[in-house]
Amino acid sequence: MTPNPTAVGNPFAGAKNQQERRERITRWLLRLVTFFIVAVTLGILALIAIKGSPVVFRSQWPFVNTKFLTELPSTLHVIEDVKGNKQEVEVGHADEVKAGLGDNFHSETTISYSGGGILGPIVGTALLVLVSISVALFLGVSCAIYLSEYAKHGKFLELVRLAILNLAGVPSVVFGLFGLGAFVLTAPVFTHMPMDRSILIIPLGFTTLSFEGWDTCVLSGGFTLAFVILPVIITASEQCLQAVPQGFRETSMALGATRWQTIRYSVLPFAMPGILTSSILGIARAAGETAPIMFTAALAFKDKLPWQKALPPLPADASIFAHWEQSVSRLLGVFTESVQALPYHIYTIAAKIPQNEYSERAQYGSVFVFLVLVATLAATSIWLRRRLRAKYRW
Amino acid sequence: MTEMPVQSANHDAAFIQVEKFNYAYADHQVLFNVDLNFHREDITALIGPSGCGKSTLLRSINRINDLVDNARVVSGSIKIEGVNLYSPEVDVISLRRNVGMVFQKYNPFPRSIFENAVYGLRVAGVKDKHDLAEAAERSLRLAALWDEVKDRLHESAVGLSGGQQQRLCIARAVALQPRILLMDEPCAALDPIATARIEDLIAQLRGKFTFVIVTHNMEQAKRIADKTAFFYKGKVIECDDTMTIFGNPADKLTESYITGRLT
Ligand SMILES: Nc1ncnc2c1ncn2[C@@H]1O[C@H](COP(=O)(O)OP(=O)(O)O)[C@@H](O)[C@H]1O
Ligand SMILES: [Mg+2]
Repeated sequence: MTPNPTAVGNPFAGAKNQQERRERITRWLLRLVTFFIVAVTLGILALIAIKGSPVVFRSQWPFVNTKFLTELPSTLHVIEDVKGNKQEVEVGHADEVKAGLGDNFHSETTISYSGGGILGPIVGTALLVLVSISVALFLGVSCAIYLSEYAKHGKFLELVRLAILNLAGVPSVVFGLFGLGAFVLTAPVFTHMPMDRSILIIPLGFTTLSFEGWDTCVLSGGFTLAFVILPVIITASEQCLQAVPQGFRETSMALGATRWQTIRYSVLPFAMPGILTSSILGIARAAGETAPIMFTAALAFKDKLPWQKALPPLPADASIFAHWEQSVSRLLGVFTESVQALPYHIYTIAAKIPQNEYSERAQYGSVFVFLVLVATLAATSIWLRRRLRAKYRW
Repeated sequence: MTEMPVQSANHDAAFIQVEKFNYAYADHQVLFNVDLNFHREDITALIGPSGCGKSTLLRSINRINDLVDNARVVSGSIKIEGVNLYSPEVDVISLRRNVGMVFQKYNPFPRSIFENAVYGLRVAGVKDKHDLAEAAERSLRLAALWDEVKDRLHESAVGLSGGQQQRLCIARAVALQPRILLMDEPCAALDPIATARIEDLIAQLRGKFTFVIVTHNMEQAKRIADKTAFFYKGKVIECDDTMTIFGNPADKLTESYITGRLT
């Protein structure tokens, strides 16, 4: 930088003005980029809120569109009369309405998946999240305990950390294919009649263990999603375990506790709040993934909730035990059913059917509900963290 | 282990024997040929500048330093009543039940006062409510804390003052009725009043346990210790009666340390 020739005599004049201008420009550029990002984010949220909330909310009691939240998706029929009045009709009533219109009937349009509500996808996503978070917490916390409490520092530990880090970078569609191969097609089941494509059949006497896969179902999808969020859970759990003061471990062991007792009574209880809060963010991630469940659990459309499977009717004189057994199998059966899921449903109505005002309405409604659910989870996580941090100080 | 005859108790030179003890963290050796005897029911103070290995020696006596990655005994031994603590026959869990420890930073678990007091018994498998309550009262009384906390045993220990928390840590350590009590700068994190109470407590407990106390505070060593060992750079320079160490030290290094010319 050359000294400003006009400022001879003042050795500190330098290129002050020029520098200041540059400084100002840089600051404004960075500020603009930040504002731009914030504006885009707010724009997206506003668009979804503006277009989605009319679908979900009503101006009259009960203010919420209960139909949208409690019904399964269905095909929407729109019937237009000769005067151009359009009428939205449920599947079952289309013929009735047409007959009622008689000669005034002009035309009928059907829009797939855009009628009814989105209860099916909501239930499906809830089940997938339930399975995936249980599996991921069990595996992830076990792994984190090993890494943080048992493993000696060294090359091996670094290698494991690297592997976990890499797992986090794997594209989710790869997890989808992995889930297809591992859970849908090869996972072991107990069965009396192994399928032909079973990879390995182990007779156990009373039954056989057949590696024929779980088929597309909640279990397959949940396990696949568990692997997607596993790196997050492991890393967060390890951090939470490390945050427990070393003094607790030493004190506990100095009082004659074994290592496992120490973990069980003096490390895990104090790490658990943190682990649970961060796993809520894992839930949000699992709920939002589409690719891992496309081949493993989700259907574009299903006209039944997972527990509405047709079971053989019981004889009239069936014992209470038989009824009880059937209820249990119905309950457990939800995990072996394929389901609809919110992200996949949104994908279907946004990309797989012809677009018009009706399908757009269904899209924004679903996206809005989805966003509210995820935001609620995130808010719960933040609230929990605040509360627990205040409670478990040491 | 058998009880020793009472009359010889205070002259039992062989209670805790540290012999030619060398200790290292990875390749960094921190204790060199330490030879020390701790007498039964004595209070022995370990003094010396920071980093000279006092804590390391103390933490080797209940083998809590085994938790530190790379920490290892290079050679030598520590024996309690002739049993080498580092021999394979020794079960560290029962060793630690016999050797209580109080740490520098008072660190009760964020649980109730009662649960802190009975932690050692719980992990040892004591389930009987009556036994636990009895043990809690006995150890809290021993730690001169009972009167202050008897009405709020089931409140969190984190709500206690620093001095009370440290006395709770002492109660927790004595609940298992160990014969040896190791203390690593037990007053370093406390104010003078709380420090005085802990010193009083140690004086009250004199004779009930064999104390090994690391301290930075030479006045404290003078006040409470029967014997004092001076450490410098991982070596024991001098170990004698406290009176002798502070009144008439044999070694020049000791003298310069206790007069504050060596830090
Ligand atoms: N966990 C550890 N890992 C490596 N070196 C350690 C560790 N703890 C202590 N040291 C080293 O051992 C030496 C003695 O430490 P310490 O026993 O804590 O001394 P003191 O208690 O007398 O201050 C110091 O040089 C210290 O750096
Ligand atoms: Mg120390």
